[in-house]
Amino acid sequence: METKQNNHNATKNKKREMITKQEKKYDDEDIYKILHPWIRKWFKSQFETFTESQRQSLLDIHHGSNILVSSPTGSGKTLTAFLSLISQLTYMSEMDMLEDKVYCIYISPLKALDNDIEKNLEEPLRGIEEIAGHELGIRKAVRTGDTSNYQRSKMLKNPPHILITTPETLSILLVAPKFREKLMGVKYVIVDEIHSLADNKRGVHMSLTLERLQNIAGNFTRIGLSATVHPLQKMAHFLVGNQYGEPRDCKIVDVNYLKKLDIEVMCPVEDIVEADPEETNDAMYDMLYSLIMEHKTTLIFTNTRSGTESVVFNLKRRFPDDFNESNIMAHHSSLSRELRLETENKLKDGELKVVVSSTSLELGIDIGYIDLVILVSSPKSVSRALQRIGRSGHKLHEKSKGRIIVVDRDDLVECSLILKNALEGKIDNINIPHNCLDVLSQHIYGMAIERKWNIDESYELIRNSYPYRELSHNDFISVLSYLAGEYTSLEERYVYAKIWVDYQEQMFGKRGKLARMLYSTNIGTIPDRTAARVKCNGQVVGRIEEDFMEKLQKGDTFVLGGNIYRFNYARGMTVNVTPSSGPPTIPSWFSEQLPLSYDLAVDIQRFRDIMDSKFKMDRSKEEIMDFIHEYLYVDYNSANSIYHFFREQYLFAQIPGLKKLLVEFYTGFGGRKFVVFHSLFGRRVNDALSRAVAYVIAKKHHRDVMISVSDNGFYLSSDGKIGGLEAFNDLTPENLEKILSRAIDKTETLAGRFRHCAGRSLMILRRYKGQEKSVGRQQVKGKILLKFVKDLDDNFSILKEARREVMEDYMDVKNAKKVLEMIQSGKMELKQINTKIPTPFAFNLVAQGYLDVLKYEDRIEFIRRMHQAVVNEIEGE
Amino acid sequence: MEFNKKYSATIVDLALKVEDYLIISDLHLGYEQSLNADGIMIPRFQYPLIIKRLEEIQRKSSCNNIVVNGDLKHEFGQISRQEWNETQEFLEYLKANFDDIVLIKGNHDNFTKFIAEKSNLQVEECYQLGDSLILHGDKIQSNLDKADAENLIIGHEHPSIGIRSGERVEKIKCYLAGEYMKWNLIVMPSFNFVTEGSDILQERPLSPFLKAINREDMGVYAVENFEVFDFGKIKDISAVRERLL
Repeated sequence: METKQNNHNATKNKKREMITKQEKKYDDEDIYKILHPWIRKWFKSQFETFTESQRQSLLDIHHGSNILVSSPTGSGKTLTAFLSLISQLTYMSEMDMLEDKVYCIYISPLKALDNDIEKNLEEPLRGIEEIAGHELGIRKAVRTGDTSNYQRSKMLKNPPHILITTPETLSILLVAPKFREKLMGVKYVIVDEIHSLADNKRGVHMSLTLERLQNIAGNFTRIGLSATVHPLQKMAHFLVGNQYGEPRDCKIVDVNYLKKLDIEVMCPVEDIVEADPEETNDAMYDMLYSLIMEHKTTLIFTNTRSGTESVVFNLKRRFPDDFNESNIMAHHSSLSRELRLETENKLKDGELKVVVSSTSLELGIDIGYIDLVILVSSPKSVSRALQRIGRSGHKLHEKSKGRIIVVDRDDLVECSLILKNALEGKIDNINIPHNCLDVLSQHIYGMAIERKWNIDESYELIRNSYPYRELSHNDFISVLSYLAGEYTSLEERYVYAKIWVDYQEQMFGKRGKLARMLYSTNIGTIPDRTAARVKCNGQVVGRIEEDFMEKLQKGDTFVLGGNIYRFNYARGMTVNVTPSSGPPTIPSWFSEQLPLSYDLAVDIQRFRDIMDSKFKMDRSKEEIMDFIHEYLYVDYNSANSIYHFFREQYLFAQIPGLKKLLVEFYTGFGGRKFVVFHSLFGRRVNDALSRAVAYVIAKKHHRDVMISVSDNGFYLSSDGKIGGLEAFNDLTPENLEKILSRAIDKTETLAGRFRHCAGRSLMILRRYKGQEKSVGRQQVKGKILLKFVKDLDDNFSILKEARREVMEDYMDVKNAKKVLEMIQSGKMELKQINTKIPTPFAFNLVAQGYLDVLKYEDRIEFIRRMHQAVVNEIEGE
Repeated sequence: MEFNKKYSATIVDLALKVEDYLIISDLHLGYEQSLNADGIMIPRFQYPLIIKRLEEIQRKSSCNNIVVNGDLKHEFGQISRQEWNETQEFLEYLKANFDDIVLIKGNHDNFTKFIAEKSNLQVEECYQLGDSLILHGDKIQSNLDKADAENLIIGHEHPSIGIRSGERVEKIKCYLAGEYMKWNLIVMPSFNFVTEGSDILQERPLSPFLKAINREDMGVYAVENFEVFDFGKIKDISAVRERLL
């Protein structure tokens, strides 16, 4: 026993470290000791020895410690997670002690990954049975939304000992009256690809599911498998949650340092500043072509689905002799499941030369051997770059080979910093959403279906989940109140109340006979999005998202699949267009684009500061080139382009950076005033900053202000007077949140998010009374709902959540505050310049259209002004 | 106002005043319940809004009679007790506040007749008021030719106009005024607070009256909280909207 009396005193005085880095490493003998002899034999027949991650984790898992394993592909993670468990199940089978219940639950974000894991478990189980000479009777099964009724009832009769599932299905199983009993003996829960869940509401949802599971199953061992993220402590805390207000114990195994990287940034032309876009584009395809031909199988990542389509299309068009349907394919989330599966299978069988993907192939589904990963333009964060590039080179000691091809000058600088940080192991911080009241609504409803609850007991349970560890009692009660239908009149409540709450007795429970059915068919956090088909002359030319369709008005032009179309009309979910030309009136990138990570953005600004001082100190070209080459690990071609880009900016105006926020005033086409803010903090921060600044300006001048936001800054524009600097001065870290919440109040963004939150809170039901409701119908009505809810109660829990989601998840109000602090403390000075044409750094920024309008005027003021404008225009005809 | 002279009707917000009658159209009571059936758990909220607005209109217009020009009830499937109550409550409200009450059948009104009977009211196909014939507008009556009227007043269409400045789009309810064959045609906006209606500049018309004519020459009178905005003709707005809206 390790617990000694004197240790006790020590823990009293010093706060015990609950999440710790694994320092121990076990040798083969130690590990073999805990494994069943058959497994020992099987393992020895398959492997020479244990991998590093297995060495550091198997014994702790065996002893029931929670563990987070962060390791690259090829580190044998399936066995890391399962070996100890299989061994224990084998012992039990041998002693005829295997019961008809679930011992281990494996959770992954993807059904495809579930199926892979089931297959991967097949081999060790069969191998061990061969050695044993008889069947062991260890059962495993995949259970997802696709599992048939027949399979389900089979599972109930003979429950799998290892249940392989998704977060959503697990939360449904918790309310399944009979099957939940089979979960009461769960000893292990494995969460695969946990990093891909933690940064969004799916992870928040899962985290509560695990607490509910723990409530019926008692303590179990949590094993998390993650890609490289930072900080791992946070991820571990997310995995294990709290108990009695303190994090549960967890060990962190980090073996990422083992995988060697071979990454380069490639510039398709000698000087990307001088080259015109067409030239760069041609050169890029030539470069792609030769890279692909030099390798066996290449995986190309673009950042958007439309980008994916266009790379596939262009490779086929430009090199018809080498690329055709049989050896190049696309893989992205808009494609049908069958089509994606076909691509994955062809990849596994080595039939494809190239596959092009947006984000769908980032996760660890089995895709066979890839020897090169190409990233076309910046992946926007270091962790994403590492994860994508990590898809190449399967064996642990094989290098991962990645090439990042840049498409323009801003991209070049950004990618170079990604390269630097990747090589130096500097990874962006993860952001885990917290206190999501919509997800909470679902779970409280689910809990009420399970049984009656004491209010305090349930609050306690919820606060064990990492994202809710600081949930306020008020917010918790507001969700109970919403679920109890307290927003409706008493006589109507029977329609709207999902639970009853007895505040006297401090209890709550479910209402209605259909509760379980309603819960099971409506839970989940991924909003229903339907893409509208775009038809041109009767031909389907592509798809656009509903959010985008909503914005379109007759006569608008937009880009789709590289072509420009004019919007005529929409009927249902079909959009009718005709080919058009000229610049699009609505930018199409905003819904799809990945935002630049804040940490990376700050590093780019630091680099700008250094460059600024080099120029100021009058360093020679050679000196600066050498510096860039060394600092950013880029070749001289790239260094040359970066040098020219910065020099132009320096000579033309000034180089903005972390010490100097440049505010550029210029008058554009038709006398329109623009103010460009060179705030390179990533789109999420700029979204928050720009709207707050715009709000201050709009309020002052009583006019709508156009906003355009990018990763590198934002611009505001108005047909009236527009101030910039003083508006920025009116913002403080203290008042930002308040101003921002007013600024987003009338935006499409809030309306859209509200609809999703109302769906997650089960105020809008996807499936109701046995019918599936079309998103199209619900979409229009989501707006009515928002209007109604605003009138009802401005602090309604779903509305509060929609605002939180916009400000904290979609935007980044936390880091925006940091920027304001930098300004307030004088660390960053505001510098105003006036220009006739935009400076080089502003070039990409102003080239894009506006994104949103800050609606300041009241509806009636707006109508009066527009009416006058229309009448004047008609009279002027 | 021009409108007044030509059509012998006055716009009072969402109602038309003809002689001492108010005409309102497309109330769609019980819309919330149909949202509920669609899985949207929005409680009843528009009834008090409708009553409040109607009181204000009556006060400003000092009319003692009323015509409900169709679609009093938003009807799908069987009527629940709640919905009966709401409609009946409304009819009783009308009886208490107006002398003559005329109900015209709309395409959603298949059950309205039975509720109306309880309040001793009849549901009519159409109603003539001076030189104006009031009808819902979902179909063209075969004996329309025989009508001795100069103006036709219809609902059904829920017309609105979408105006845009930059990314901001606001839809405003509006009246349309034009000609159908030998008659002056007035299309009324809907008297409800759930939706603004369909954008006449964007969407295709529903009513056979509008389908049959060249809508480009119709006048657009938008209304917002008792203010009336004369936007001119549809074709004029279309001509300038490329530049402006």
